[in-house]
Amino acid sequence: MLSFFLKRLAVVVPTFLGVTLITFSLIRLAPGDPVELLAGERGIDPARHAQMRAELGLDQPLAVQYGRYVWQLVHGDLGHSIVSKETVLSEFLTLFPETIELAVCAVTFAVVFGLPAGVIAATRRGTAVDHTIIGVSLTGYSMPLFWWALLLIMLCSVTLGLTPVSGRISVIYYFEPVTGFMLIDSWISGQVGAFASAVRHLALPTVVLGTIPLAAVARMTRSAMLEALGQDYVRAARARGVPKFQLMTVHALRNALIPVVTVIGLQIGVLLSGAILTETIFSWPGIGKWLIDSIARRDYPAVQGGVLLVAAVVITVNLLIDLLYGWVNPRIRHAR
Amino acid sequence: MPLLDIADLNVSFTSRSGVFPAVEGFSLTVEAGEAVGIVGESGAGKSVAMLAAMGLIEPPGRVSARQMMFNGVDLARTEPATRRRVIGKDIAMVFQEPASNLDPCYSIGFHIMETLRVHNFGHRAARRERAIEVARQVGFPPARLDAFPHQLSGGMAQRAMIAMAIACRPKLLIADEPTTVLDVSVQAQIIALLLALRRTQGMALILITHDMGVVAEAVERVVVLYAGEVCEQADTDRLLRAPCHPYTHALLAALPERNFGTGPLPAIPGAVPGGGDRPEGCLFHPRCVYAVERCQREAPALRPLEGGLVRCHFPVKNG
Ligand SMILES: Nc1ncnc2c1ncn2[C@@H]1O[C@H](COP(=O)(O)OP(=O)(O)O)[C@@H](O)[C@H]1O
Ligand SMILES: [Mg+2]
Repeated sequence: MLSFFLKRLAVVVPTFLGVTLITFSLIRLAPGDPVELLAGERGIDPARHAQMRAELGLDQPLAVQYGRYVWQLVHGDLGHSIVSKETVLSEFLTLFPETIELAVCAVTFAVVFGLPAGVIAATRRGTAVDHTIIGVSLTGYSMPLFWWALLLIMLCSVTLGLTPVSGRISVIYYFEPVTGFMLIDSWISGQVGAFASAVRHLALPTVVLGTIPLAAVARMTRSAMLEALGQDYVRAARARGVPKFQLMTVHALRNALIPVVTVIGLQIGVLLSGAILTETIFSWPGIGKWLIDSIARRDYPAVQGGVLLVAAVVITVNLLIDLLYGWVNPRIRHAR
Repeated sequence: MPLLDIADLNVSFTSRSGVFPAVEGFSLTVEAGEAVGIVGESGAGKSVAMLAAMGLIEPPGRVSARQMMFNGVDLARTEPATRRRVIGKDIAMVFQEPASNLDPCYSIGFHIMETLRVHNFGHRAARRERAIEVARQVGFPPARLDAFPHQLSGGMAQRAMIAMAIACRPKLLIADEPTTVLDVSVQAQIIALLLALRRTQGMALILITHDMGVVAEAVERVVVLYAGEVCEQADTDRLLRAPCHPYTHALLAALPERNFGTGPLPAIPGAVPGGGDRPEGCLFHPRCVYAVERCQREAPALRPLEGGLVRCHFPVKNG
């Protein structure tokens, strides 16, 4: 177990180096420069332009810039945003809870609906119910996020008027963030309607972001359940008189969870890239939208630091999933 | 009244290639405390017949029987809920492969206590105590009740399966080739354990086995199955001494210990008929050295002979 994690850590350093190199070069390959974009439509006089580039260190050769960047990183400094002058880390940390909240809700949504859907499909194998669940989840799995989001906005927001089109909470509510998680903060603020508003703003983004993971979880649960139900130990449990519901849950579902947890882990990466799209569509004030905005402004340090931090999050989450996997799978838990 | 009385059990599996009768017209009675052996080549239908008795055959398998009386309850007719209260409690089964019949996600202790719980055996503490007690009885170290299936050797896993089976003090234990996948050194221990339990618990035992040596020392009566049909049934002594059916005769003749030092073993030529190649007449006639024209035409009925039952037009005369 320990050597397993040490091995994983040994992969982390090269991964981080690769991420810095790729983001550093890609963002500089994009046309346009931060100073010009900062100046906006009025333009900027060439002398001032050169001076600002020098202040930001952008006049140096690329190799020097990269060297400085990595040197900073090694000392734990992710740099300052060109636009806001804040440290990249503090910007990230302010926005991160918004993205976590959305991602956690999306995963919860996926598991809460995907797991039972998969179980039902497996127990009704070959029936109309099963075919419907397979069909719907295949559709969900191949749904382009943009289109799906617009469709839902059209239906729920425009036609039915049930949910707001964008944002995190209605502007009429204001309270100091305590945890950074809007659902919790609005609840403890005690303001009437604030929590409901937060929930209504959350609904569509959760559904949009959670659709692909939901489909993936449902499909994996179904096939893993079918696999488990055909195993000797399920028959042996029946031979001991274990009733049907317990066979399904205690034995089949419990074993099916092992591959399902793997699938959920794989979905985390998908989820974060999905979050970038979803946050942009719904003007969700999280990391995804911040990254897109930073790219548009050629805010080099923000993009570089942001991507690196997202990579760190993905790696951490995957480590946690590995722990969870070990926890659901006794064969790994007790491996010597 | 016998403890178990199965009459005319039929089990068939429907597939694209047609209906395959795995067990046909199987009848078996077992008295309380009696030990009966079921023998036959692999594929003969031994497991299927016992699984059907336990109600464990699932579609596309189809089960029908005139009756399957157990302890006054007809398992062929009763509600599933009633049957479930009997299965695992009064009739328990030990399978061939312990490793695949234990749920990898749970400890051995969980398995035993789950069995006790579904049959409403006392409170939590009482169940824990009973689990330790049965573990001792089967020679499973109680300290290892927290172990998971993959941490056990085959022999230990089979002891765990037996502990689960006897946890609710069954009246009948069905052991389906309980030693076939185990190391030779462990096989004898497991058989000895089953026999000891049968004696101390006073339970009846149905032992499915390939091993005629085991049959000789473990059971009082033997049923020989061939291609889903009973071809001979008799007391163990009589069957081993003077088999009436040519198939039983050939089975015994193929035993290594009866051929010690006399050259290659006489194998039975041919194979058990499968789905598409069930012969007309007697099912065994294509492999039978005594077969005549009548055997190809007319299927023999099971009839009484020399204190047992035999399905043959021309039973082997002994002595
Ligand atoms: N679930 C099943 N589906 C189709 N055929 C089966 C099934 N289970 C058993 N059979 C067939 O029934 C016959 C008897 O099998 P079995 O009772 O397992 O033999 P054995 O005497 O070796 O225990 C075999 O030919 C086998 O192929
Ligand atoms: Mg078998």
